Amino acid sequence: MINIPILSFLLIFPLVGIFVIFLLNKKDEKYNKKVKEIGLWTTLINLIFSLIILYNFDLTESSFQFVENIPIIDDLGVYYYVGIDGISLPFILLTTFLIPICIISCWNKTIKDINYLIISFLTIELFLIGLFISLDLFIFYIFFEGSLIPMFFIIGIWGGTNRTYAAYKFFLYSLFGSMLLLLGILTIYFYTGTSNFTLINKVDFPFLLQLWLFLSFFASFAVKLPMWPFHTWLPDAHVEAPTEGSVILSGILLKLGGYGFLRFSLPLFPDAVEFFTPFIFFLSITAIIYISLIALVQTDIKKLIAYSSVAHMGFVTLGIFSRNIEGLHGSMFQMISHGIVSAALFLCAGSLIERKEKKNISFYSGLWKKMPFLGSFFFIFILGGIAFPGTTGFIGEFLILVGIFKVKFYLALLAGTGIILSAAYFLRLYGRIFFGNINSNISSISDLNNYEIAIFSLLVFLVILLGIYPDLLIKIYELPINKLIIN
Amino acid sequence: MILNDFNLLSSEIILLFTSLIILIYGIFITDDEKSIKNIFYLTIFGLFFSLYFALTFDQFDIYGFNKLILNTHFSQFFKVLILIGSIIVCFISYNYFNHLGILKSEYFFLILLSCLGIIIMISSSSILSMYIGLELHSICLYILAAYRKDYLKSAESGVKYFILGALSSGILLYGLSLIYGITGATDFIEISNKLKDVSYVSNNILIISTGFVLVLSGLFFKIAAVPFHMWAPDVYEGSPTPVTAFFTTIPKIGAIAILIKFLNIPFESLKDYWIQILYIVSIISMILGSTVAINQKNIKRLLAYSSINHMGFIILGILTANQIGIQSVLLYLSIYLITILGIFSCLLCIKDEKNGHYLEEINSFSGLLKKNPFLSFSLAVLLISLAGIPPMAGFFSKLYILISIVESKFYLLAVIAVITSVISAFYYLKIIKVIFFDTSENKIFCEITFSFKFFILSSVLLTIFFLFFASEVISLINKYSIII
Repeated sequence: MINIPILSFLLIFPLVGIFVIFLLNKKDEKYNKKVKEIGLWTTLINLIFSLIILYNFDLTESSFQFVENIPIIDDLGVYYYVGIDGISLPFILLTTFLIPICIISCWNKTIKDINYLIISFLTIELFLIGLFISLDLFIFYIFFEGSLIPMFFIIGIWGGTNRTYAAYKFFLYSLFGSMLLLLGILTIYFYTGTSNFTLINKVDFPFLLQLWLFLSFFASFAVKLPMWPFHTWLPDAHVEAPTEGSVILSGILLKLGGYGFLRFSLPLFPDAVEFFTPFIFFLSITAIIYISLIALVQTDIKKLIAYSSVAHMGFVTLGIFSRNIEGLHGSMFQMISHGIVSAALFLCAGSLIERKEKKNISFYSGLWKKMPFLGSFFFIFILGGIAFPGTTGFIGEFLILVGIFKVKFYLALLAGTGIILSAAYFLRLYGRIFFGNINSNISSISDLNNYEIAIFSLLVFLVILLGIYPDLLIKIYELPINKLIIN
Repeated sequence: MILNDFNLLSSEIILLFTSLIILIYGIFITDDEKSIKNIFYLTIFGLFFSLYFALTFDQFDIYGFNKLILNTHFSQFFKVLILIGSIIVCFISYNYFNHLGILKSEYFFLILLSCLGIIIMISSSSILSMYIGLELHSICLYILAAYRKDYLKSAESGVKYFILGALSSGILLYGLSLIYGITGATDFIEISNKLKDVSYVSNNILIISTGFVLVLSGLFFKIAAVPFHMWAPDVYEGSPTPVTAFFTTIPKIGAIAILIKFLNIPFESLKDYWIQILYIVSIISMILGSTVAINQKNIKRLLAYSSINHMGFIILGILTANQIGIQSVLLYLSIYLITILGIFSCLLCIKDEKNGHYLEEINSFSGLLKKNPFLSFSLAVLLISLAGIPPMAGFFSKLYILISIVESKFYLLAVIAVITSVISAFYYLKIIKVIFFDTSENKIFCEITFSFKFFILSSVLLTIFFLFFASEVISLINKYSIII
């Protein structure tokens, strides 16, 4: 099994899918349907392959597995060096799981230029998987920044009225951050003479250099995550993006920041991490409380969920930088759980908005009587969002709080208010939309169709499964995370 | 001996004879389509023949014609680049001028002659042959800029270019005369030997530095680096589009080549001085090129400013004054040539449906996606590549430049380069936005002939899949980046 370049298959399938879509005859009557089918099959094959990888993954091994090492640019010593460990595998599974869901979610809709949308999905899947498996800094960077291009098109072409602005803001913000990351990577490259992650990991950087490098990596990951003062692109991007775009954005793209911190910042710059920890705690706590308060006064459904994402990501950074076993486990769990829950919330919001094309909370009320299915699914996901015991959200935030409690008591106290606030804004959102008198606007609204029910049931299953049996996920990343602390 | 000298110049000689044949042939024919087509084929044939000789010539580091000409790996690389570029320009200009009804034999004559001038300039090893080549191609460019006689802006741009260009040539010549006056030598190596004497230099520093700065200004004018960039936007806008494509690429590549040669051979000992000059010039070129372009409405003006920005980047590679810097410049120029010519090929396919004019306003591209997805995607890929976003080829050229300056520890420059490239990404995205996001639909008529399709497709594929053959390209460039 080891001799087959199984990780590269994950990259090759989307590429093949894109080529097949280009080759299809556009004049064919069933063109749109065929495009969707090809997209779905490619992503499903990828999902199956990633499950095969999971099956063959050695849980007792903390180093990289399925490693492939092929030279690309001899002159610079850049290698196509890929491999996975327990940290990257959950993200790969999340990606291969969410992209087919996006494609199923646009199965029944009439979307203009659906072929380009499917191509964008496949491209973004290609880049994201490439990003999670790459262990060479240059290759990582190529995938990291390349993932901006399809997202830019997804927001810009299929977005709402203000889509151009949102697409620009998203793109330029991220581009600026990642350009600084590139400078950091170059400095590392010249300091160590290699871009190979495992070799760099053995190098100790001098303290001052660590500080600069940490900041350059931080610029990029903080924008992606997004952390508090760098988050302003996110609400715009989410509000304007189509439902599927929001799902990918909040489900996977936001996790790149946390993944970057775990993969690069923590092991490479330990002294700088320690130096900046109070600063990061300050930003995270601000994000949790301040952004939660902002979320409380939102009138737009998608904007509220977007702000809640920023607040939840504040927990993630808090956990990562607490640098103890509970905090790190919690952050990792929180990222995956938030990937599922926020994707589900955006899908719910999307199915509502696509029926009436209104994003205002006040436009809807008493929806429970009209859409009981949506109401019940939405409620479970909201429970996940407010970290209710029995859902995935609980495990992550609980562990993070334990971790941060070990560091400073008052930090845990402040972060704890975030959970209360999240209950406030989520329940307010839910109450306004689903309870009360039936608004005349929604008298003719229809409940979920079969596709949506299928998607939501799957997501509910995952939310509850991981909520009551978290070991399923923790087992995968346990060893490499523990290794982070020992080092 | 003489025969050997001619052997050295075989590709130049072919160009000269082809151009002369075209000139004579042009007298005897009427301007009907068939004979113009013959001339077109003749030009292409001459260029290919010349390219063949440039590619197969394998005697390096030999002087010819009393040390006027020196053929090195470096000059051969640029020769090939320029000939390939000229071939593509000839192909993409045929339809344009034919459509306007002004395709005459002179056009090809001028292209060939300017190509000849640039090649002579590149392989020169003396200030004399350098100036001859420079002036030969400059004069052709003045005429080419004003080639659309019936169009006021074209005439304006020709006159503007001529006045400023003649001035800058004069300045350059004056600088060369000062250098000759103080060193008593025309040969690059001899000048360099003279300047290696530290006491000699410090006694005459005023004249040497004046002459040197004057020559540099003349060369900066040619590559339109700030503060010698004023002509570029107007000339680019006014000139016929294929000529603009020619201006953006070929003379600039030639001027960069001679700039590298001039700085690194005769003035190698004054490295500390010229690094400071280039430092300032590169910073202001990058900043101005990226900021001023934001508000441009005309795509040719926008590309003019974007090329100023790119020249700033290239100067970064030159000012590191080491091998990896030169390599990064060669890589940058090759990718730049492919991308820019690809973009111009796309632009030359897009016409207004009503009056058949070629579209130049950026806002008029809306609706291209519906009309022709192939062109839209090609433009998007090429523009993203120009913006330097991976995995396109443009990223690798920027990466290499950044590698060279980080290696030389110019961190401030690296940060400025990064910031300006983010700003410049904005205006490339603006064009993509008009094509992909705008809902208003302009009446566009697209006509893609086979040769256009071939060029666009090959440049797009080269741009996307550069990663897979980057290793080969870079090792090739390493071989050809030795100046002396």
